[in-house]
Amino acid sequence: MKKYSGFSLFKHSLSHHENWQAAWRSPQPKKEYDVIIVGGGGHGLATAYYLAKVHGITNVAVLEKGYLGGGNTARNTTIVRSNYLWDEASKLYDHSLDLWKDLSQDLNYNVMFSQRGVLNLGHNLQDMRDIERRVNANRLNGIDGVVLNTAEVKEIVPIINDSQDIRYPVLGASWQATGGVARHDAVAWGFARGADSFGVDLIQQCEVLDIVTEEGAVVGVKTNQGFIGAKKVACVTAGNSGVMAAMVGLRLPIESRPLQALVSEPIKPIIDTVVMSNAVHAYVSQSDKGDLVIGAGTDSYNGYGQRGSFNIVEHTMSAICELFPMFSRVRMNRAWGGIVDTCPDACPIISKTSVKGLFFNCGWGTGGFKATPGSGNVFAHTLAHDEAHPLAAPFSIDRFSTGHLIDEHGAAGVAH
Amino acid sequence: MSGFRHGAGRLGDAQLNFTFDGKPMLARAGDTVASALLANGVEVVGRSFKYHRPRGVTSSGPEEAGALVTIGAGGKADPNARATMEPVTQGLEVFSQNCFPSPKFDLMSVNGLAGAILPGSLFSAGFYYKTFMWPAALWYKFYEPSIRAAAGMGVPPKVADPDIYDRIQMFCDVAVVGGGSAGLSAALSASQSGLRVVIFDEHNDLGGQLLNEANSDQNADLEQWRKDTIAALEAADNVTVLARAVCWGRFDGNMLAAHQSVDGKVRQNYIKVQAKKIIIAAGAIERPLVFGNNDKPNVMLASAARRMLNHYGTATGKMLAVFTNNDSAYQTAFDYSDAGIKVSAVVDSRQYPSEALVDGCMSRGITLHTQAVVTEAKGWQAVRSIEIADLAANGQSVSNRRRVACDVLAHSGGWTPQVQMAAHGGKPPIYDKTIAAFVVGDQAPDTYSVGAAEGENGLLAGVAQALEAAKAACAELGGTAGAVTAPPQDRDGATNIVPLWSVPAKGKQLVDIQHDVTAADVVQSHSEGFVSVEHLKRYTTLGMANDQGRTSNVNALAIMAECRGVSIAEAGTTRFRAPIAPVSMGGFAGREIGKHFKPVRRTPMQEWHEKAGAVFVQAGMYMRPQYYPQAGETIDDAYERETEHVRKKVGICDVTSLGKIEIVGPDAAEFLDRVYINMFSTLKVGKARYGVMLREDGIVYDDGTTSRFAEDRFFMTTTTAKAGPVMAYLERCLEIDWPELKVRVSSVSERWGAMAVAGPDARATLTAAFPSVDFSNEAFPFMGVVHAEHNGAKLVILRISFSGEMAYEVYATSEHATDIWQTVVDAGQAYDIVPYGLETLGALRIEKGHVTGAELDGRVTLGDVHMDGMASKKKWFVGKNLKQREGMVHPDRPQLVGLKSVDPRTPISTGSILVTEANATAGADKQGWVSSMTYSPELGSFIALGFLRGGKDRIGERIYAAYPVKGKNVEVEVVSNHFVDPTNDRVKG
Ligand SMILES: Cc1cc2nc3c(=O)[nH]c(=O)nc-3n(C[C@H](O)[C@H](O)[C@H](O)COP(=O)(O)OP(=O)(O)OC[C@H]3O[C@@H](n4cnc5c(N)ncnc54)[C@H](O)[C@@H]3O)c2cc1C
Repeated sequence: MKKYSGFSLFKHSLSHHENWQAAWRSPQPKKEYDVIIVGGGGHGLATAYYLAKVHGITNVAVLEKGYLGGGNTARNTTIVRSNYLWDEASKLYDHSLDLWKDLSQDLNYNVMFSQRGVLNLGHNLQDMRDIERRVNANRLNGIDGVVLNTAEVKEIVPIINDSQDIRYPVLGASWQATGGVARHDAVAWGFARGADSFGVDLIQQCEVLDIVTEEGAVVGVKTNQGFIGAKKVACVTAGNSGVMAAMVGLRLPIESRPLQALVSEPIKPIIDTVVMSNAVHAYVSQSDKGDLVIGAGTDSYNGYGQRGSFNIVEHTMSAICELFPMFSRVRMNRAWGGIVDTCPDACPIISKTSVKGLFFNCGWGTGGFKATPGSGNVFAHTLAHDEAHPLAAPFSIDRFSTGHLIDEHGAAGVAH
Repeated sequence: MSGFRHGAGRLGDAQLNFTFDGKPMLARAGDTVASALLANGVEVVGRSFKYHRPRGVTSSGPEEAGALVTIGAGGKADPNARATMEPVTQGLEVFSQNCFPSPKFDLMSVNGLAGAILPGSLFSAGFYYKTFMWPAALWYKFYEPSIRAAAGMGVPPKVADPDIYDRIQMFCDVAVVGGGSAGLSAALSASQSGLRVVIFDEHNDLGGQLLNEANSDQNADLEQWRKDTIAALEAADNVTVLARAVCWGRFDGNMLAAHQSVDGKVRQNYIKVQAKKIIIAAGAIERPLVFGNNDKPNVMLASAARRMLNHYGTATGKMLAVFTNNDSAYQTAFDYSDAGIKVSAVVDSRQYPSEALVDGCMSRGITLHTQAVVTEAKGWQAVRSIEIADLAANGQSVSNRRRVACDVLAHSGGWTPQVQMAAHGGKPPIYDKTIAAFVVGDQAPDTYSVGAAEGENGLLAGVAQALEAAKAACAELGGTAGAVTAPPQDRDGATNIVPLWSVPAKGKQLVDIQHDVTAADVVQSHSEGFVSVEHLKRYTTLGMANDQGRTSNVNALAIMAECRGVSIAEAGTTRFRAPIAPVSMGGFAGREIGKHFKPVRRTPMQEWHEKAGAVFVQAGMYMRPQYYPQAGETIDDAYERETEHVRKKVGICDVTSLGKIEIVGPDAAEFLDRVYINMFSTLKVGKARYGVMLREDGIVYDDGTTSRFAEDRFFMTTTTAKAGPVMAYLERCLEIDWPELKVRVSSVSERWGAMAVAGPDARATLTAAFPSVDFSNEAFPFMGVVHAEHNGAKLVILRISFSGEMAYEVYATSEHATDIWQTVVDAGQAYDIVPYGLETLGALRIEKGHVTGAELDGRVTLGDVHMDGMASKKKWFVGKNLKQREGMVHPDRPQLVGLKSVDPRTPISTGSILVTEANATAGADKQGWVSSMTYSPELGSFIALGFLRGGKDRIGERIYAAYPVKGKNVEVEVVSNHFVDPTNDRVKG
């Protein structure tokens, strides 16, 4: 892999940028791999990267049915934070946050991680109680957080509607200064380029049609490019995970639903942090390009169509105009949907399964982007050692039969 | 200065004044900002996104990617408006964008200069990802802030939008998208069937490409046809003509979404049309050619230059040159020449244009260069000349470069049918080689795309398609489309295009002029492995500009296909998504903002509370009284007084917000047995019972009291928060899980006003209020239900208690509820009755150890709240199986406890974390949390409810409620959650 640097950029500009090396190879699939990762989203690619880098396992293929990073990784609102309620979740997400901090340097790829802070607004007394409980718990977990009142929120986001005479006035917020956003596509591409540099085969347009087992153990996968053998198969397929599990007769406690997001036209800088409001349901930040990036809600129906119901977007627009009445004239430019894979307790599954050699990493639902490096990191460990990474252990699929759930609904501001 | 007024076009006579960056300018009624700016000689309108290159008007329609301006100021400022779509009105203020101090001299254009000095720009595709990483700290301190400071286009308003937006829902039989010759014909023909027709066009003037035609004597009949057709549509009762309405998306069930700009009090209408049939006649968009500096102001689409002249009476320059790879642009040269404007050259990349075109040039004295290309547009800020060259037969190189003078270059790279709306229907478009563009091909159900939108550029041929579609659509709806006179002239529309995707010469050749994406960027993406069209889009930001790639996508896809050595069809398109044009967010919100964001539900007694001086607080959809302060009282004074009063005498509280559901049918009891953990089939008529519901996963879902009115009739109450969800859940159960049950559920929440009357004097108060009811213990025991009537009001009275005192809930028909409330209040005067609010309700129930939403937060099991004993062992119910899981009954689970401040005057904050060490810091063992707190007048102490690990067995222990956010730490004693009257005697008294 040729390193990127200011000098390389300058040098290439002298030759009209015609000689850049491909960011990754386009190999033909081999007959067999030690590990096959199904799904070339951020999580799958990060898993491959850490498998190779940390555990020295490089005979690995990532099979992606479309193009790398084209699933939810390309569709999310890129919010990164770790202020979750429960110990298990906050430790996992905080591990990820730690990795985010040096990720650009580690990957030699600028993922534009930007710690511009995340506000979770409270609009009623119960919201504020939940916020206080969560931030207290965060503090006892060593995660930064403060609880702000309306005036303090206004100081951070001067354009916010702080009138107390509106339907859902801003009463306060939690503030995690170390949270922020990153450039989602770059995360996928950076991990892809990194994994490729260690010899991992990234195979696009390769859809896994079946998982082949013999005597209760995985032996490979059937794809639209033929059979590919594997000692271990790791499914990292987000909204499609239920379909993958069904291939070996497993059922996952996952619902796959459309979740939408949208961006405005590029406007001059007006909002510098991430603002999330669960009660009125809207999330907004401004990208480095100048677009307002806005998250909407999930549909209440299952579906695989990568598009959601439009009334959800209408409602989100109302909420945005409530919080920021000056955005009313700003135009929405593009809208899209992704299929999110949500567990009943709003926490992921990072787990072995009853089929030998078959692993799942899914259930990240509306909020897995922030976990991309951490998820890949602990999942790689789990794959390499055939045993859960300590941070991943509580997220075993067994928890749904044992009842040791980690419910991150509600108090954590749900979503994103 | 190159543009000027020339002739009348189709504009009105009225003169209008407007300003551009403060400079006064003149316009005529009917001008767009673009045509008026050109007529005033303005060339540079703004700056581009990345390189800050000068930008001018490039089109005459929605595809405008160059002339983006801010319209208006203050709260009405509208950034990124397309100058081509904004009508000039008297006094309009227009501002340039993305340039400082002015569009002509922009300091940020150094971004572009670096590009001019180096052969390739530093800011090439993906440059962000390759740099700004060293040293790491500079990313936050310097690089990112600089990138952000330069980002964005227009400046958004800083104050609230004063305008109003409306939402309109419409239904029709046939919707026609596009008001060009095809759309107008289809709509008129369909309307004659008597069916309801809606026709949209995003322009102010209908006619589509007919508006490009010269408004001359020669075309008088054609112009008359246009006017007559529009007039006929406007006159028809069954037709709605929506001008200035951009139809931007198509959704399931044939729903079209549009935004219409209107003048007056309302700024925009958001219109959703449910159509039985959809005719898409949205026309085609002309494509630019890709050559050096093709983004320079005064490089303009040929059709736009023509419309400016013929429709807006604005010559775009004093000397025109044309560059084309197809026939359509010649007409621009001819019209300009015929209007007396010099045409210095027509440059055609094809070898053999048709004889008619060659003759057309010759007869007008226009120099025609065939097998030739424009390699570069020249000029400091706007075009002053072009460099042209001969194109080698293989199309791979150029020779014989030479200069041609001109001050406007009109170009055409062919036409792209507007397939988006058809593609939203689910079918990806297919590539049609003869017109070198994507067309719909396979039509989605109930959809017909016709005319230029389907790649048919001939005027009469397109109209014929439209009439066919109207006929078919009407026939399927049982109607007969009418015969419509065809336009009196034809335009054959054959483009005879020979694709030229980019000119083989060096130079900054833009594909996406708004985001400054160049042909070289596309090539570079390819060499770096970003070859899928979706990767190309994301790596270069191609097509993400507000023209949604309308002018750029096909060119870029073709260049990518060439690099990959695959066909354009194989390279494919990115997915088409709504909206096809940007729409203001306020337009979606409509009137659902402010107080209408979610309308407040009012109880029948709301006015009474207001008069009584209540302070209100949000409770679900309602605003409920929080407390009723007396003169000089704080919130604490007030609720402590109210609480004490209820415990000692009597109080009344509005509980209308509880969900109320009637459950009726022979299987009603069985149904309740399934959804509640406890038995309801054994409940006697005339009795009430407290019930708890679980979710399937065994977590507590909701609780409430359900009474049996008759064998087959129950009356359920739910918590305020779950009123809607429980109703939906019950319906779901009946429809999906147990359709065999003969049960009906209906929400009667609005039917009843409800009030709780609680305290030792409750019985006496109610006896005085309703003398016909026997309130004695024998006639009306605890958990009894009585039906009564009072002054025309129907009453249901339940003897239940949330406060722990002797208490009744009185339900009165809504229209009588305030009278009944007043009756109780009057009768209670003798006992000093006081109204109490949510704060007191909370204090009373905490003292009693009852749980509410603060405790039942969707994570709690029956065991956690000590209700496991209530679960029936004799029957199955929802949640029974999964509630048995080991983790759900684990002794270490946090369980409900009472907490008492060791120092009674120290409050225990909700949201505190329960720990065993005195000064907990990071890493402390978290053992639980505080869910609700109050001051208990009865105990003279602050008390709280909370959840504590294994709490059931820890009564008497002293622990700490840690609140690190404020550095607080309160020592508390773990006690039973039943603080007051644990033996429950008072309720039965
Ligand atoms: C609108 C929206 C907003 C969001 N906002 C946020 C946010 O602000 N913050 C946050 O942290 N998270 C957010 N999320 C969630 C986040 O995007 C996801 O949790 C995360 O990106 C999941 O990454 P992934 O790699 O697991 O899945 P994906 O990126 O979806 O990757 C899965 C891949 O598997 C491939 N695949 C599936 N089936 C097969 C098969 N049979 N064979 C081969 N390949 C297959 C798919 O093509 C896909 O590329 C949001 C999600 C959405 C949709």
